[in-house]
Amino acid sequence: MIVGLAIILAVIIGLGLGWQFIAPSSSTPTNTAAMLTSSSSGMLDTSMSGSSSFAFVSNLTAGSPPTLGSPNASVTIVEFGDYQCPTCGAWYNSQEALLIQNLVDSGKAKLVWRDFDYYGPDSVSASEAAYAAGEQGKFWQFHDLLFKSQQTPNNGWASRQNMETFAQQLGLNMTEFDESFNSGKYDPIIYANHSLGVQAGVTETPTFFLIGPNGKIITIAGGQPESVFEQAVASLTSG
Amino acid sequence: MNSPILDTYTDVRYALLSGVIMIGYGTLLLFFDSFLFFAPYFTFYVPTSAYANLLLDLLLTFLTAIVLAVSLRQLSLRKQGGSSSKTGVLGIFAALLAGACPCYYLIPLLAVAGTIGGALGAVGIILNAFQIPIKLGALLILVVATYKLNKSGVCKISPSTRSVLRKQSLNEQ
Repeated sequence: MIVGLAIILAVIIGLGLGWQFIAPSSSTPTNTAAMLTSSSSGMLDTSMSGSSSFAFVSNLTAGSPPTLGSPNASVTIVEFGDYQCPTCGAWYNSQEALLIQNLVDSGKAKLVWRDFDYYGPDSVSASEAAYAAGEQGKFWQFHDLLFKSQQTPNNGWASRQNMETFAQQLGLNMTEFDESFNSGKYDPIIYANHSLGVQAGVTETPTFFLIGPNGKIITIAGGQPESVFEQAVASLTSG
Repeated sequence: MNSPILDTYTDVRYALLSGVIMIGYGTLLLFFDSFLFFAPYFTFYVPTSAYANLLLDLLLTFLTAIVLAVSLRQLSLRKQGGSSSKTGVLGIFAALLAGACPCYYLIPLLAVAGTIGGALGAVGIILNAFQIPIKLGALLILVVATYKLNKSGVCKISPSTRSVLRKQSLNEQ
């Protein structure tokens, strides 16, 4: 009986741990995403390491997403996150400054932000507001303010009204901000980012894709310590 | 009579089973709580803001392993004609109920993957935000179950039986 129970336990644990590897194969947009996503193509190669498809790398770095660091940095770190996600907030507050100091400021890597909004409409409002702040050159300041002000998801802290307050705190031109914020012009970017995340197999936030100089990709899922990023960057740049 | 908990751990098979439950369940909890990562590198990481959560995880793991092992032994003894109580079944039920708490981690993941989404996803997100109170509740269930299990093996003698026994003893003298 005991051996049987141990086997059942092992199977349950295996299923639990295997979930994140199973989930991407059945990824389709969520309700929030369905609201956001205009189209969804097939799965892309998201293997943890080794040569990934050129198309996948191109998709991750396509367009002109908000980017921190030198354009010539050999490694690109693409973060998929949600401003309301507690793990994203915890990672931001404990690790992002270290990562910027050790990898971005040193020129080894650049950090790219892509929205993966699934916590609800307030997440979309936060994304829109950050882009609207970006029009006045303050995307990253707004991004920082959002994570520093994060509270329990969907309790109203990321409401459209509060976004106005945050914009005022940053001293933005409110007429310009309101015009951009309420225009709906960022929705296609947010839709596309979510769609890209789904295609890439994002099953939790934050998820980071580290793209090396030769197109090799390392995926870091969850709020992992900065030392893991340093190790991964070293691995990508060492050949 | 010894405590059923101590008796359980003197039996190597149940001590081993308890160890397996502890390692397995602990690994699962630490993984879902983002203390343990398997990719790209094996990493154990505890942010300074998460010490309380880690402590709760360890306590839940420890008590779940005790309650399950003792409950299974109680059931086994019962099958063998022992005087074990029904607390074994209740203990397993309590451990499973308390152990179900990491399942809410899966709900937001399902919402992301879109296999369920909607209302259930929203419920999962709320549960995830209140994981500390939920874990405290689970811990309370396990503490009560441990206490009940420990008491279940003690033979109680009613006051009336006690007085009869005393009379018999006096008569014999």
